[in-house]
Amino acid sequence: MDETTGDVPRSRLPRNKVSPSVVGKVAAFIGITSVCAIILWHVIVKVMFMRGNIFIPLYTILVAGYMLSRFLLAAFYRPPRDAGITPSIAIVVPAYNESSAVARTIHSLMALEYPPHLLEIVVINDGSTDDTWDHMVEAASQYAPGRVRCVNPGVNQGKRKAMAVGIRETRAEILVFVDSDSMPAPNAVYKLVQGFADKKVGAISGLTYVRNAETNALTRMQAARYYVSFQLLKSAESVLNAVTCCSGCFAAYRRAAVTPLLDQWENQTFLGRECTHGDDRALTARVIKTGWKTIYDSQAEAWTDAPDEYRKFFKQQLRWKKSWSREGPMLLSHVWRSRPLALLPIAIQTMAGLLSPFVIAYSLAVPIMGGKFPIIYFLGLYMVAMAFALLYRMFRNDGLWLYAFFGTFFYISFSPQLVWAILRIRDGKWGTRPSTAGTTNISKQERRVARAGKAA
Amino acid sequence: MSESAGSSFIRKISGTLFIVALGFVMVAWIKVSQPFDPDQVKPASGRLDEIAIADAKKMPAFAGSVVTLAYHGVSDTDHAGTTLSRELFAEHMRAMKTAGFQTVTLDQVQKLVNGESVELPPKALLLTFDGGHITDWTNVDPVLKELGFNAVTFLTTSEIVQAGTPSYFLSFDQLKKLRGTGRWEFGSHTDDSANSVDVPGDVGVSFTNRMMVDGEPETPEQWDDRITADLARTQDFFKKHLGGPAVAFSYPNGDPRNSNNLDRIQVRTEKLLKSAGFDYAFYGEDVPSGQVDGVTKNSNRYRLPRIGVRSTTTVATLLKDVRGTIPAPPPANLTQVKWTGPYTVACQTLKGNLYVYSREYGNCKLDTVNTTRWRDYTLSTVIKAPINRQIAFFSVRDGEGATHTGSLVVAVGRDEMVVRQTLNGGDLVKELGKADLAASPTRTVAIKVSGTGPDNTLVVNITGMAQPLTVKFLPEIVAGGVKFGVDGYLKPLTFFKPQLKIDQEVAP
Repeated sequence: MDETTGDVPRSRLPRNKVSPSVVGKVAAFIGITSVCAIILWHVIVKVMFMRGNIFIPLYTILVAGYMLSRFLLAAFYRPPRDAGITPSIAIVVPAYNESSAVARTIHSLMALEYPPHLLEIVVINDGSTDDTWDHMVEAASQYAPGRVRCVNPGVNQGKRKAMAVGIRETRAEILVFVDSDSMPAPNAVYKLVQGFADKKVGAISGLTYVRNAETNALTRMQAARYYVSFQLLKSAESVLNAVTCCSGCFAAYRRAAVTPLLDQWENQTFLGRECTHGDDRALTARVIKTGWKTIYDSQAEAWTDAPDEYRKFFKQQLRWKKSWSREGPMLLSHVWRSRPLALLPIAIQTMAGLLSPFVIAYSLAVPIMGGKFPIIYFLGLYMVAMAFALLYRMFRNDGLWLYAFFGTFFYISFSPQLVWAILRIRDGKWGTRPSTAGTTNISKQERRVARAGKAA
Repeated sequence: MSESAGSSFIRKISGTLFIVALGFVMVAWIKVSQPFDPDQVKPASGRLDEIAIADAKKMPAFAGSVVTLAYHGVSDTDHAGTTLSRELFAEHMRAMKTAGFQTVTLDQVQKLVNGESVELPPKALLLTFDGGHITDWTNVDPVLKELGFNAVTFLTTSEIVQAGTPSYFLSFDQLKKLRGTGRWEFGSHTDDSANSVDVPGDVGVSFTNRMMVDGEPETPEQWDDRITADLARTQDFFKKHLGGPAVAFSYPNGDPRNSNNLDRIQVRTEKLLKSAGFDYAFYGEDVPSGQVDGVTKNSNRYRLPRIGVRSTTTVATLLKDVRGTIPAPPPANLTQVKWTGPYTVACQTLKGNLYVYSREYGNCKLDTVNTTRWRDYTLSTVIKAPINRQIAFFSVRDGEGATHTGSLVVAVGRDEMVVRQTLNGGDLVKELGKADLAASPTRTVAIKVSGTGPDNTLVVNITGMAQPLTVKFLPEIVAGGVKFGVDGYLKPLTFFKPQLKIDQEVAP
């Protein structure tokens, strides 16, 4: 994954609470409510005056209704209460060519506030070609034996397989996945597992901030986007107990929910190719399918590094779009059975997501072809983007709220990428790794290299 | 997260800008996406000046006649020639109110033309609006409400739109609201045949013209089928949306007798209207050049006359036209009233004589007199023998505004005279008789017209004729005034001491 930005003292991390004033909160809330009210009014008008070509109004109604439902459901979201439970936890960290950063991750995980005898850390070296393994072992040796388990399968098999190795190495009740460039808050793991007091909960997603938010405009936009996605979309999904992606950077799964799915998930193939991307989304979907609840805990906070170069961002988006266009429709095929309430929003989300490149193209092509400028579409976009920005401003007063606005348009401008993602969906290249690592089509030469690395 | 004061300032400024922009975007979004449903507009003041008030108050009553006005749109933003400004429309309505008019319903009009007994107010008014414009709802209805008037709207039914659709025409919803006021009645203005289309060699209204179909003019049968289908569609609309078929119709684009390219279209139109269930039909959205009658029990039910009102119709013109609906007896002295002609014709009275000068054919008429009841009369005058190439014309029972557009024309040349009848604005010209004229320095002309229906008789006696010429003419030519005309540009033609002697007036 991305190279880490080096050790960041905790004090320099974005503050957990950059609390806005009461006036600011109320003003932002009024702004969001006004936007929602106007959109609701528009939907009612569309329904009452529907005629003629049914598809465009229907699209508007569904998408606007989806947006409104997000805000409404998110308003009802409450984080799981502190049940005081402390199940045994294994934190699984796959690492690939992280060098000394892996040591930093290990140290930060060891600083977590959780009963030591119930917390173990499993670090898997996914066939790194650098000195990751050495740093790993060196860091682990600083702690009592058994606290940090270093696993070295020897070959580079991809993130998913590495995680599976880690899962099999431990017997802990709860599995917490932390990306090698993520850093949970000291109390985060304790908070994260509280939701498992409900025996039907199979997976819980934490709230992830962008650690390098202040690097440049790109990371600022991502920071704002992350926050809004978690606080709006995941909150809303959580109310229906169907969070569709308990993200890989910081999420917990119940072992009982994962074990029956492990082989199937690890060896998932799509169109004849082994799936390498979207490990988190694929696993969450399977957990939902078997009937478990998946929820979101906004009190369990972690920080992760976002790509700070457009090239890397582009590749990350391509990976996410590939896994989304694979898992979205697949989730749709079974979610009606396990979570009927979540069917409609997921269906709209999938439909609108798949159509978005064409809607954008259509909206831009119509005025160019001499038609009427779709002013309603763009004004609506402005309002929704501002509602996102105001939502950010309602919770955080760190000067980044407008980036949520810009970010919305920035992300939309990436939507045509979906077409390419679907066309190249079988291509499992990770994009941050130099070779075809991650696919199973490892050439003999690469195997030799891997073996040589192991021998070394 | 230490940031400089400058970047903090920029963030604050841009944040404010985007929030302000959000306000504008919200307003714009509401404006753009709200369903099109304009509210009713408060009536314009329509204040009349003292002259207009005095003029209106002098309006005489004429029992048994319904003054019918034909409006279209009323709007301050649409500048069509048939669209009145809100202010002018309010002035019109106030003037009619001041003049003492009360509105009547279609039911009363129907009884009137059926010859049934019906109680009409002393000054009866029928307000009609052609086309089904949205302004019937937005701008007209509030004025009617204020003045206690009711009205009829003639709908071009294919133009009626679903509620919320931007349109110049009424929506179903507004139609329902208009019905709910109890002030409005509905008639048909065709389903979709009120527009101008390509007709052979021209454009014309599709209702009364053979259209071009695939580069060929329609056959009369195709026209017939098209109009039959159109009328059936408009009646379907009325049955479906207005509780039953329409009985009242208004012709699109004025007078089908004049604006058609199909012979005898009037006859066919009336038949088709009748078989489609229409009981009566109104003419007259064009501004008439003469005066227009009110609707009376003698009116032809498929040719009910209306005063066409346009954006140029001032209150004074309106009151003049309304006054013109009242039949007047012939003036005692033909040279003490105002004769007018088109701009190519000069009409001048002096010392008991009428001088008419025109560079081409043209004639002079009494513009402001309703001649509906001029039936049997004798016109006499003296002319000097017209010299070579100059011809004198006399029209009697000239039907402009008198329930028909025809006339009997006597042309007097150098050594012969001819009598013709015309109907439908000159379409059906027929020579009824002619005679040679012996040489004479002056000619006394006496034209006597009398009778009704088959008894219609014209007797012409001119100095130089061997004997008076007596001819019969079309029963449609029932009444009307006189015209003096000339063809030839040499010098004015003098009609010496023109006189009109009334033998019999038509009963009202």
